[in-house]
Amino acid sequence: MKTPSEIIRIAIGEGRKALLENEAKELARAVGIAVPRFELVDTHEKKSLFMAANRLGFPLALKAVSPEVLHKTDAGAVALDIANDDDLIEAAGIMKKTVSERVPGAMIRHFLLEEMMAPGLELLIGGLRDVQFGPAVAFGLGGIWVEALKDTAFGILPMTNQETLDMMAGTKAGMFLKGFRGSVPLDEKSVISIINAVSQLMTGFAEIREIDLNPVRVYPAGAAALDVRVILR
Amino acid sequence: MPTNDLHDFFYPGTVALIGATDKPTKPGRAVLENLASFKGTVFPVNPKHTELFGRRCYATVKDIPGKIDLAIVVVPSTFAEQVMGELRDKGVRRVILVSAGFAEAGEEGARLQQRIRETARQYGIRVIGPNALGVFNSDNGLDSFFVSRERVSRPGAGMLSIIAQSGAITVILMEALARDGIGIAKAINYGNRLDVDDADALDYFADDPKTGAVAVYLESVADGTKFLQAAKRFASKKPLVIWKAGKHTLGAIAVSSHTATLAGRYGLYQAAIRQSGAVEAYGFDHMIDAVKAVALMDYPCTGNRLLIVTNGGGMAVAAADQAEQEGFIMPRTPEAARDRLRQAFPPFFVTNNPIDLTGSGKDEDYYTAIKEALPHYDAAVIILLMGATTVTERVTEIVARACHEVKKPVACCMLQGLGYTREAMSTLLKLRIPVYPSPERAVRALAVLRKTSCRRT
Repeated sequence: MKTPSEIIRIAIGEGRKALLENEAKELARAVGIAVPRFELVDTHEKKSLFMAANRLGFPLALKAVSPEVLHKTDAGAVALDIANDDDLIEAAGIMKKTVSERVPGAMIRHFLLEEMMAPGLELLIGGLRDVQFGPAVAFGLGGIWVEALKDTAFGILPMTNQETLDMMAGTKAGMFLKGFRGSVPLDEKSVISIINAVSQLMTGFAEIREIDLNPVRVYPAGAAALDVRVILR
Repeated sequence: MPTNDLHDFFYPGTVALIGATDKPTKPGRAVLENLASFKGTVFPVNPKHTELFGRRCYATVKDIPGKIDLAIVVVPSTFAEQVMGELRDKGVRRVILVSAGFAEAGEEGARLQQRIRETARQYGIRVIGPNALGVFNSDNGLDSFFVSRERVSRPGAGMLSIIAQSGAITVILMEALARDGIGIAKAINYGNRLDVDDADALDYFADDPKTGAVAVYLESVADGTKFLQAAKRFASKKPLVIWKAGKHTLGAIAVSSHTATLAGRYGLYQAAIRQSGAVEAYGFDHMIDAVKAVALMDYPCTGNRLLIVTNGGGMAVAAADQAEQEGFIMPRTPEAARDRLRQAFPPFFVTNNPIDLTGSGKDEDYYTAIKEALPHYDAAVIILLMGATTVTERVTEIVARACHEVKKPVACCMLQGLGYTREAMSTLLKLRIPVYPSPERAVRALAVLRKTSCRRT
């Protein structure tokens, strides 16, 4: 397993301004953030695609890994809930075609095959750098709710544990974590450790400009970052 | 640079006013007049005069005998560099640059500001401004503001100090406080903040024995990290209320054309305010309401149990609505207290919280209600409708006495009217009871008091 410094160095060495999804997820995993199980597969080898699928188990998500593709959904680089080998090979074919149409010249380096995670509360946890306040984190409702509910609170680093709790308490997301109208309380501790891990990346690696974990799915036990974006300076 | 650098701005022994004049339209005239209250020595400087209002006027600062602790500069920006050179030679180490025409006016002004900054750094001169009103100190009458007292009255002495990036807001806040009879300790407006900034001022006020609380108006900060540290240190000692304006895109545009600084992202300012332990004021009214409560109330608000006493039901309902939004709860009046109230009151008064004395409540009934019930709560909103024939103008004194005896924070609500209620409101303020023209504003002010109290207890 590569260290965060190695992952960042490789990307910078290739002149990239962002980590590939697999790199970003490895980076997240290296600092203790849970991500779905995934495998990278060569785009030309059906057999290795099937083998990876067999190891991970259906249903699966298929994503195209390409330095040129910034917005995967817009580029047609994501297929979800794939149920079997036939659907998988069909999705892979369509994805290659769609991506090349929507992002001309895009090079798909790999397919990323990933387990589908159970539904749960979706959060956004992020990191950023501000010209005035320096490294900071963001926290709030994620997924489709980010724009609609504008629930994002920020925290200026470094933060004490109490300051992290205060930041969370000011949001609807923080309220939902506690359990809402009879729903089961969710794993707040896991969420806090993800915030701390993002803080650690922002303060420890000056090369990182922004981190987006969106969505982070939170369960009664555990939380995982389904998508990880890391933008470099 | 050490924190107490600002002390000499507020407590100079000798002040030179560069650009003093008798021309009524010039800032040099207003500042000269305002310095009449200063308990120190003022030296007017202007080569065009030998005497101004009976004082000797000097051609240059070099001609003044003895040491000058502070120079206030009101000459046009085109003369600023020359004046800075003379001040440097004279050994002046504290300068307030009132003049405009620097970074806020364009690129050339920005370059001029940068050159002055370099001179100041090189010679250890601390500068407030440019494009600033400077300082006001009720402790020694120092007043570098170029607005006349005929037009804008100054508050008396008090415990509140003001830090404001905008000169206009500084002046309006001060006049609003003066109108309500609320005194201030000190005020500083640093304008383009070539050197002295928000964090420096907070650091100074944290250690200033005359300052008991600070109200800050910000559009941006000079250095976010430094600001957060200073605000944290301040708020751990004294109440701090911060109003961040320029929250959204449109406001932010007005900011950059105004003070020549970029407004940071509002979310990060909110984070800084929250993490520092300060309380955010959301706008002008909220700021005034908050500082009124902070300045007048000596009792901390240590919990969220709110009592309402009224002589009109509807107003209590409105107060209760706002209370819920602000995170207050309104527990029932404890049974023992209720029994005593039932014995004291006619049967048609409502003894359960909110206590309603109805249109028949008398002055003394307020006293009884507050004395019996308030000890069981953390704060109270007292609604006084002066239209009721059973209450007299004495009710304000009686309410104030009851509140000060119980020693719990209260906010009164009285509808702003003409002579009669206006008189009653000013009596309450004199008796150190904050009073507001709506139930919502009274509750919001108590909420601020609660937040400032939580942070320090």
